[in-house]
Amino acid sequence: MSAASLRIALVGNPNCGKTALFNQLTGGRQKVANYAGVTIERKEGRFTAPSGRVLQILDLPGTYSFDATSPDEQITRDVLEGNYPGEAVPDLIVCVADATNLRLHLRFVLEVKRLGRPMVLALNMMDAARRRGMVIDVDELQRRLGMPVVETVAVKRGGAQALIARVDGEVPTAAPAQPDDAASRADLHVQVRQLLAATVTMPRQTAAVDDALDRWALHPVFGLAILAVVMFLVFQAVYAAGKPMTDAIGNGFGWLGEHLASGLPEGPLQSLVVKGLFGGLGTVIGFLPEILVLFFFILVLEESGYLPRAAFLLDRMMLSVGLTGRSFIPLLSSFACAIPGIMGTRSIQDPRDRLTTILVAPLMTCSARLPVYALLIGAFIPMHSSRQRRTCIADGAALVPYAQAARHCDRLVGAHQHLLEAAHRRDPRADGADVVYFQLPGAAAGRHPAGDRIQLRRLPGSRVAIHLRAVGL
Amino acid sequence: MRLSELPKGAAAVVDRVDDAHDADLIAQRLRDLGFVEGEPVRVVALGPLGADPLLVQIGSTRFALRRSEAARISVCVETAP
Repeated sequence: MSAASLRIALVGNPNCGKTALFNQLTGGRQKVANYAGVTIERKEGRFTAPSGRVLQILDLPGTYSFDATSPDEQITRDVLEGNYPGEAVPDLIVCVADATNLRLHLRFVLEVKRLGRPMVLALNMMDAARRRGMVIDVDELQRRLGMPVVETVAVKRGGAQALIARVDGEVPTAAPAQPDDAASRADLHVQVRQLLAATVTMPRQTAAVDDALDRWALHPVFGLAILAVVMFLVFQAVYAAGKPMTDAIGNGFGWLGEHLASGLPEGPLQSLVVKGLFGGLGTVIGFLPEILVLFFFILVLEESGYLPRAAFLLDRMMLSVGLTGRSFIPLLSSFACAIPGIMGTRSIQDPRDRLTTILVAPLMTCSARLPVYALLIGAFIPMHSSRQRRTCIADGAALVPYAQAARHCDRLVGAHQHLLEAAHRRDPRADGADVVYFQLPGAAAGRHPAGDRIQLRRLPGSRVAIHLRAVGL
Repeated sequence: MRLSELPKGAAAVVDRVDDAHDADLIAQRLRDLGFVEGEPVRVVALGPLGADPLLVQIGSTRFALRRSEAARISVCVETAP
């Protein structure tokens, strides 16, 4: 590491656009690794600032506070304080805050400030804040916080210019570290309120559109109906859009294999190429479209903010089976693939809930399992045409369908001997069926001698058929 | 009055968050999320089964809280001005 390089850590509340900002800064040139022991990604990237200085940027997990109720938060705190083994203390902390949600995010900014490290505040999503009519007095905020404040729009090209210019300059001096105790913790909220009152003018508390959407999306009846429709459409779309692509891939590989094999002599090598290599590849890659389509929909649902609402609607149901509403998202992704599903469980704070979700996720039917089911069904469930021992009862009230019934029966049972025999003779398909008679005292049609109710049921392929479910015949 | 008893749509102000037991992480988390004295809150929506969970708005942020979690929060109902 050259002396000119600067280590920068990005911190902030979840969903403040930290990672988008990180990608904006590093241009997606990043190293992804996991912190040992917990599945949390550690993303590090570097870029060269206009001045020629190399900036190393570390993207830390989203955190609400330093009280460490989840592993993410513990790691973030340890890294910032230099307590994480093998991780050097960052030279500069860039605290990212969602400008549209400062009330929540500023509290964390103040908490980070108490660490007494050099820091810069990046007010992200400034475009959304302006659209909502929010006016933020950045100079006043800067003065009150005692740290540089820059505006960013992480999702827009060039939206991080101001931040790059700021971190490329000299490192700001840090405020002295402050003790962390319960009294000062409650005090943070008071400070946030004062800051907001002095620097932010907000036209309305939430967008009116959100209110209107939530009224429907979270309605006890319509909300659940909308959820059912959305889920139905997603799963239908997976097959409607994925199946043609899967078929095309399968056929494409089959065609490719055959063309290549035509140049090969017949034998084990040709078989390996055609069936093994190309047949196998076609089958495996064939799952890809379905998985991609499902991921696409999950992404759309997540970005639109619908998934947390679905979790809200489903929480009680999930609770009754020992899960939480938050499990819904990982379990839904597990239909595409259990691995990202399990990775997604890290947003569940409760360790027990997290573990249960992880254990349940592999039980969801991921699309790669469908061919396995098809194979097992074929192996264990016999086709309809194979002979199944079936007893048919034909009696007074239902004489007509003897012939039709006969073709499905191994045994014709009835009280009217001559009719049974006639039916048996007339219909060659009943050949091989046993004919059994019984006497019905009082000729109570529809009654088994043992007194069991006879079930009349339509059999597939026949107009009328009589099937006896009672045992003993 | 507990937040869990607040009728839907009614405005209230947070009084305090009580620990349900020692080292109550949920109560701590609620305080971190902004459930502190003087913050205006409102129950925006109720879950479809047993009116659980509750969708609570504090400032411009909405949180889904289970009844047991919302019961930790003590609120004062605002009297109409």
